[in-house]
Amino acid sequence: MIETAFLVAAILLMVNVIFCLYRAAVGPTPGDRVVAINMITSKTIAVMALVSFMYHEELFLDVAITYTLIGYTATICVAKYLELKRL
Amino acid sequence: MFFSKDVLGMTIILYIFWLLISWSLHWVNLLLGFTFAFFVAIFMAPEIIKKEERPPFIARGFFFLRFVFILIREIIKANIQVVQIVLSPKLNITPQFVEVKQVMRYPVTQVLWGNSITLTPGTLTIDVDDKKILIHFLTGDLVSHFPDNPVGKALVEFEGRSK
Amino acid sequence: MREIIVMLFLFTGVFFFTVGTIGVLRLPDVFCRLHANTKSDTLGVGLVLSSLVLYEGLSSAGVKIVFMIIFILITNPTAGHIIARASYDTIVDWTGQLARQKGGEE
Repeated sequence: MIETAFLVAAILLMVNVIFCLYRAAVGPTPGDRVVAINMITSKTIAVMALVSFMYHEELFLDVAITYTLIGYTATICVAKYLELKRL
Repeated sequence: MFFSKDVLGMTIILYIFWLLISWSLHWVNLLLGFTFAFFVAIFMAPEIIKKEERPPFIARGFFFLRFVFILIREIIKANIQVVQIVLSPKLNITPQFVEVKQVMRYPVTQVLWGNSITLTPGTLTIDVDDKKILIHFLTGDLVSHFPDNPVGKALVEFEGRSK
Repeated sequence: MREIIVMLFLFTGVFFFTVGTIGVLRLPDVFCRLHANTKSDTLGVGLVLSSLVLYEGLSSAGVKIVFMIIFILITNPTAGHIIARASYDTIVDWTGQLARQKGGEE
């Protein structure tokens, strides 16, 4: 019952990711693309946590924590490159 | 030389983080965690902890908890507003940039205040310094309501002075 | 009973995620899209992950998810702020003016 709910929520989030990918591909400025990638990152974190609970596998949660911090660092690096034109 | 109050505090924080993440009390785990926490603290404490950024007021737990509760309430209100704007068939938005005065004095509360502005309804922080904040408003009628933001009042009380 | 609360939190979170996605698709320029990004995503991740905490209770997985919520609460507004500041100098917004010139008028 509750596993089915997790599965449905994960599928809905992945459909959201597809629409965000549209914005990342089309978005007229680099800022739009970074916003879309940032949204995809947070949705991926939620999906990772849900999948970890579906398969009772705690290892995915460590990956999700790391991915939170790595996604933040990547966003800051791209934004700094846009602002200063160097890294 | 190597050992100071900063290193000690950072070691304790990192060690607590290690224990909560690893969630085991085996002796190898305890020893390994302490070693890693201590070496990371020795190398990174002079880089991260700056004397001049330390707040001169004592962090008071009650006012911080009150600030967090008000912030969560404001986040929910902000989301309801985003739902109203995004799902209405005609987008009635009038975006504009406004500069307002910085009311917080210390770096810690300035960071918290900048993040809170982003999370409260209709506002987005763009640039922050000691004197002023540049804010992007989603609708124009929010500009006049901005000074009586409850999160800002809670943060001013957290700084320990009456407005 | 607990499962009903868990599912309520979960699908409310998914609903806010969906609103954020629609906002990113519909709103006209970077700054308006950042409004949808920061607000909806923070509450969406918060609700989905808190539903998992309610389901799991206090265990190692629950503590890890609480840490993830705290990290998201700190990092998501900061990332939005830094994207906004990087866009502010270089990007023409939806009325066709450079954003910095518009800010100078106010």
